[in-house]
Amino acid sequence: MSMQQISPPIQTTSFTEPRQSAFWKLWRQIRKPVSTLVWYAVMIAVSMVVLVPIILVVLGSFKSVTEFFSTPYGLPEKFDFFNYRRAWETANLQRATLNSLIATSLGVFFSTVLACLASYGIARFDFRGRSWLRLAFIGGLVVPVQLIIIPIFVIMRQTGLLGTIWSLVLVYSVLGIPLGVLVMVGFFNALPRDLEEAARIDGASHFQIFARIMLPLTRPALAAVIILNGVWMWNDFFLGLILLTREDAYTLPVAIMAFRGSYMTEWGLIFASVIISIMPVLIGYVLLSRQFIAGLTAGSVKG
Amino acid sequence: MARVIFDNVTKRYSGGVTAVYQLNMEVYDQEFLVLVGPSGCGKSTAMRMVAGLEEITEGRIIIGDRVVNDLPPKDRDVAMVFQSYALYPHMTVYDNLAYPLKLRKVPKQERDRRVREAARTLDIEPLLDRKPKALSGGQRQRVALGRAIVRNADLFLMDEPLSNLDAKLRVQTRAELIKLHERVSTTTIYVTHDQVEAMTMGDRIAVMSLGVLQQLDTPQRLYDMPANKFVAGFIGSPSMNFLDVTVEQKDGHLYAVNTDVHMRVPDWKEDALQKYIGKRVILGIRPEHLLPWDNANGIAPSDSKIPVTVDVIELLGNEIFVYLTMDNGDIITARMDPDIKLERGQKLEVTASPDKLHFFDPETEYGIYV
Repeated sequence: MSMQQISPPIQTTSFTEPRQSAFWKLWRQIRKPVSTLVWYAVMIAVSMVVLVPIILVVLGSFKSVTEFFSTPYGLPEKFDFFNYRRAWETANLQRATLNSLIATSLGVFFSTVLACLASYGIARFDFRGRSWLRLAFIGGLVVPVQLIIIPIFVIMRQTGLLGTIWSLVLVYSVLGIPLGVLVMVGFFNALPRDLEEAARIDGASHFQIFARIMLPLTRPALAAVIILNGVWMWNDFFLGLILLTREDAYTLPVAIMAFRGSYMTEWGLIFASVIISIMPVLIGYVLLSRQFIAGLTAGSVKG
Repeated sequence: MARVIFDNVTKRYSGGVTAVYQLNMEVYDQEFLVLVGPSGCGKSTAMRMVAGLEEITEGRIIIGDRVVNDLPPKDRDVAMVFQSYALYPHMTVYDNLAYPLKLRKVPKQERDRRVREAARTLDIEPLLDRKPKALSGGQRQRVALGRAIVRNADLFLMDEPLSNLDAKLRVQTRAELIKLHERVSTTTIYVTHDQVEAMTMGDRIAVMSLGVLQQLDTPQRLYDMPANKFVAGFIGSPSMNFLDVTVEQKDGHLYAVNTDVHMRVPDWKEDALQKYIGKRVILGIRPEHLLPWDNANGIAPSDSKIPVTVDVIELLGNEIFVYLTMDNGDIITARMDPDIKLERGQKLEVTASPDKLHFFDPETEYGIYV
């Protein structure tokens, strides 16, 4: 092969510029900034849909009843925390916060423990009907709680738990399982079998393998389950409203709802209570968010 | 004292697949035994039965003096190195090494001493505080080894421990494993599909195929006297050439003959081949034993020649692989010195020393020996 053939000859064709109207020239220049502007406008509009109600709630929480009705959308006269003080001290929000903490933390704890044990069994042990068992657990996700609320109510009344916070703990502990199983089975399945076998040879029992080797590796998934279950339990209004008949057992959403009067509602007080009630969730999310995002995206990219 | 005895061991899976069939062999105390074979030959299953990770369908496995069939893995006193290393990702190197001791309730001071000793042996002391994620492949491999030796187990099981390393590191680690075995002299069963690993590391090698043990012998004897055609083809690279020939008697000698081949049988093999006179046998010649007649310098008698045409030459620097076509269409491979100058299409005669010829029964494929 000769040298000339190795590199192809360079073509030097001259192009004639197509004639362009002034409009297109201008458009080419401004296209980029205009599209950026449009995008920002859309994003700001979407953010507003979410942010405006929150801002109004925050602003409203600093207003007295009269001020709220005279300037519902304006800035408060002064940023005074009197609504917060009242909600916390006189309106029994302390008790409700404690109740919510008990119901949510115990509900999350029991449902997560049960879901982890069930998922580990389903994912790592070979037995007949395990895929049906998994399906049965996950089936719980598609059953709306409104559908089974009457049987739940009857059971709680018969067991004497009705009206107490323990009825809520029990129901949360069960209703949190399906989501936990859905997430954890997939996660346990993905863990390498070699690890389990290495631990068996090292001398670990089944429970030690589960607790010391496998469970620590599912931390991201665990965080996701805890957050997702925790948020709905914390915010749950429906179950609380039905099951909690005694005022000293009210959780935050139920207690806040009770602030609504028949003739007049103290929106400032309600808004302050709402802000107080979302604080723990916000703090929890900030603490767990890194794990949470890792849990939701795990598997998409092997890391 | 830890010998391992496979006594008629069979493994059948519930689907009806037989992974290991009637395996009988003994691994001697302090021996380094390599289980080798193509993938799916049952070598890993055999090892996993020793570890207790697979149930034994039939037969017995004895470690030391105990039948271990019904013992759980932790009571068998075996340590295993996995291909994937199976390090616990959430524990530091130190904790990875200490975990098996912790489970065995070894006192903390003793634990610490043994972990540090193992780390020193494997040169991983500076890594003790790291997590496996922060280690290179070679370092992870050492930690996996460390987790095995820290236990002072009676028996080491290694399941392709080098196959995730790059080529250079593999050769290096191979040598280190041999040295390590010399130092701790723990009985070791080592599974690999790589025949070079098998040949270089094993005191003895067990070659398996389709769940059946084909031959259990020293590396040299496997090479010199393969028990059957499978072993002959599996050991050696490129693999042995097989030619269909007929045994004929002429002028007081035996010859392996077909339309192209005419090779004299060495005197000491004549007895074994007597009953094949006039019958077909398979002639096996290793590529490295084939030489151009002109370079043979009298290693073969003048009536032992195979006329061939050079088809393809592969240069490897230190040697060449030559693919030769015979007139009847058969292709044979030769591994030669690069100083031997050959060209494509060149016709020549090749030969091999009679002592290096192998013969196999065409029906049973067993090697024909006295």
